[in-house]
Amino acid sequence: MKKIIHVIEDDKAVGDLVAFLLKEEEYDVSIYMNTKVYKQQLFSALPHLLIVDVKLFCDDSLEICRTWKRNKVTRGIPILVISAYEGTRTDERIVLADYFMGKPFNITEFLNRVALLLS
Amino acid sequence: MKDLFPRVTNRVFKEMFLASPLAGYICDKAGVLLAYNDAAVALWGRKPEIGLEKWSGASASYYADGRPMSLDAFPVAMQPEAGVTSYNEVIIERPNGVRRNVLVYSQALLDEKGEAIGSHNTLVDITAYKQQDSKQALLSAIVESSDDAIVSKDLNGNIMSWNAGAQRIFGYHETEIIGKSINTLIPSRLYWEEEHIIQQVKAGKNVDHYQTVRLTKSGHEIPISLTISPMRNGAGQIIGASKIAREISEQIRNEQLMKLNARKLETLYSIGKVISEKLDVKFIIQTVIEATIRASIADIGICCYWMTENDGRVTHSVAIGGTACNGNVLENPYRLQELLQGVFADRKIVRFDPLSTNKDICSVFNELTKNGLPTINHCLSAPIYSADGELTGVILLGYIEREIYEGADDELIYNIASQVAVALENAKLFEEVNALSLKKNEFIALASHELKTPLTTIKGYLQILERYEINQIGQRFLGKALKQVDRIEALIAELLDISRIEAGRLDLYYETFDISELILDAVETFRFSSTTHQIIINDNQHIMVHADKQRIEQVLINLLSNAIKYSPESDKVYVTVETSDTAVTVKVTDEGMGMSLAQRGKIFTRFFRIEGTSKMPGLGLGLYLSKEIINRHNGHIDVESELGKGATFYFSIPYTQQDSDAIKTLFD
Repeated sequence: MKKIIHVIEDDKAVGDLVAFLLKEEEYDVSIYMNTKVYKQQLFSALPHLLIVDVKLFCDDSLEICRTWKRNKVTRGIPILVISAYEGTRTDERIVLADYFMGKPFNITEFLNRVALLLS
Repeated sequence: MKDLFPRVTNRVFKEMFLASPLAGYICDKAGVLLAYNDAAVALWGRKPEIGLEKWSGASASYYADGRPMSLDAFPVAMQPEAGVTSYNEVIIERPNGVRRNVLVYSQALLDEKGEAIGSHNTLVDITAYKQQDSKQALLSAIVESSDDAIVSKDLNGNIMSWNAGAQRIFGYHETEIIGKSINTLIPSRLYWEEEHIIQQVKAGKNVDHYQTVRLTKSGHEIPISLTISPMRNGAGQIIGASKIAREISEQIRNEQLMKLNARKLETLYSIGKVISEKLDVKFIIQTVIEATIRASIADIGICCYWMTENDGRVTHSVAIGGTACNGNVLENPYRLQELLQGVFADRKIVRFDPLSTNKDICSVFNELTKNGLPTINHCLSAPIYSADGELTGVILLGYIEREIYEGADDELIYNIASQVAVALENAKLFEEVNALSLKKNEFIALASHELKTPLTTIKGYLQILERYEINQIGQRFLGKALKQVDRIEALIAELLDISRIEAGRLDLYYETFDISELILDAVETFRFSSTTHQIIINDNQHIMVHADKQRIEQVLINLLSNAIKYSPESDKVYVTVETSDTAVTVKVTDEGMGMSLAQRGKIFTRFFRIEGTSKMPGLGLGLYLSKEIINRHNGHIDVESELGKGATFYFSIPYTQQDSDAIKTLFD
């Protein structure tokens, strides 16, 4: 069975790239424009991995990291944060996430990390 | 006596006359000297010839006022009627020139029939008494002519004497005050002083230059300086005290004036200092109001400043000082601004006196003095104008006492307000510049992040392409494109770091790691990317440091890439690690072009590029960033180099950061 990966990414080009890369690796990938859309469409099964793009002045992604990590059901789902904003490395979003990857990233590293988080 | 008298013979009388301590002599009717006694000889200083000299035995005679007196005018010659004793004061002169004041008693000698046959005369020497008298007169004259009040009192504190100076200072005439208690002159709250003074006097002690306050007849209190000495009688007993009181109002006024002037200068100076050193509105107005309150002895002071922001909102800054506010705050500065519109017109200073005449301003002060503080009764206000002539603030000074209020110096306060206006104008400009600089930093940060997103896609697709079977030319171009992507990435990272440093937000994330391992890792990446140079590392052990691993790696990579970049003719770069008790030092040595002393001084500044290297890529930010990072680690970075002889860049960082959190907070 294919592993399910949900990606929240507002930049369509990056979303396409990530989707292409992950599909190549035989994952079941869904891309969502933002957390609001994601929450509305989250009828299907929970993913095996959540990839979230984090913006500087946006608390949505922080909220989803926090909610998921506090919820018994979702706590075990790994979260990979990707961001153009390195921000402070002590940022709560980054601390809560299982891994942080700055943009632009190396695709090999990215895919290795995804595989690692899913294993 | 009746029984006794007949027995007194002529011999007895004669002996009495001759032995008398009083000078006496007898003349006949013509004035010729018939007899005199030893006392007369002593007084005259000579023995006149009996039967020859007339009227007087003295060498010369003078009237009491000093005019020469002829012998015929001598009182003895001017014999009065029989039975009448005349006495006159004359001055007689001895042969040696000594003059004596004498009283001349002359009485006619009568025969049995009652006819005058001569005179018997007695001279009483009053010289000593006269001298005492003139001394007294001199003293009196001195006392009377003195500007100081000279007063004597007995031990009960009753006034015994009073000079003209006392009348001038205290207003009482001698006749009004003599016999009255000295307390008449003392404010009741200071009665204790008199008790203390009397104690001192009774103990025979002086009180010198005692500064106090006394009451005048008109009820005013005046500052005086007292000197009090005990007065003794001839037997040495203390019978009272003499007081010399000097009015020191003038002196005190001068002292106050000097203090005031000093304070004014100090105020202007401190305000000047604030203006030149600080550009923070809140700080300026607080310092200014406190200094102004000190200089004008106000009980309360308000400095209110308002400015219109870009969006049209008006913001107010208020500073309050003085003893009469007790931490109360001005709740509605906007109202104060409204109240003062049009108040000043073209006047420099507006006084609200009494303050109750202006209900609105009055309520402003009442708000500040609520909770039992004394009411402000007088107010002085000075406008603060902006450069374009708009009323942009105000200084309000409140006073409880009228007297102090009236003494406030309009000119000084107006000058302060003008200086404040300049300072605030500068502060405003400074804030604008700061805001713009902040915007610039925000823009750089935002732009850099925005660039990263498309770069992610470009890099991603290029890397995907790399995995496909494409021809050799395609592979080569792909490699070039990816290399340029890395360069853009590096440039963006530098820009971001600069904006972080500018904003004071270069955060360090401390961890403990092996710096030798970090060096090996960094050198390893260069072995792959740089084919031109060989990097040689000296052998080293595990060296654990507590630092920001990523940032230290950044510095290391910067130094290594510089070493390679600026030594194109060479093929070796050396990395050396040295340790001391407290720090580790990493040296990166190249065999490149080196640099001059002047270049060394500037190498760590922003955007600095060594001349002739403009074709080399880079923004000139790498070493600047490295220096910031090492400084933030409480470390040291520098270069040793000579032109044409290569360069050694080195940095040292302590193994551990003393209280690193505290240091971090200090910089953030």
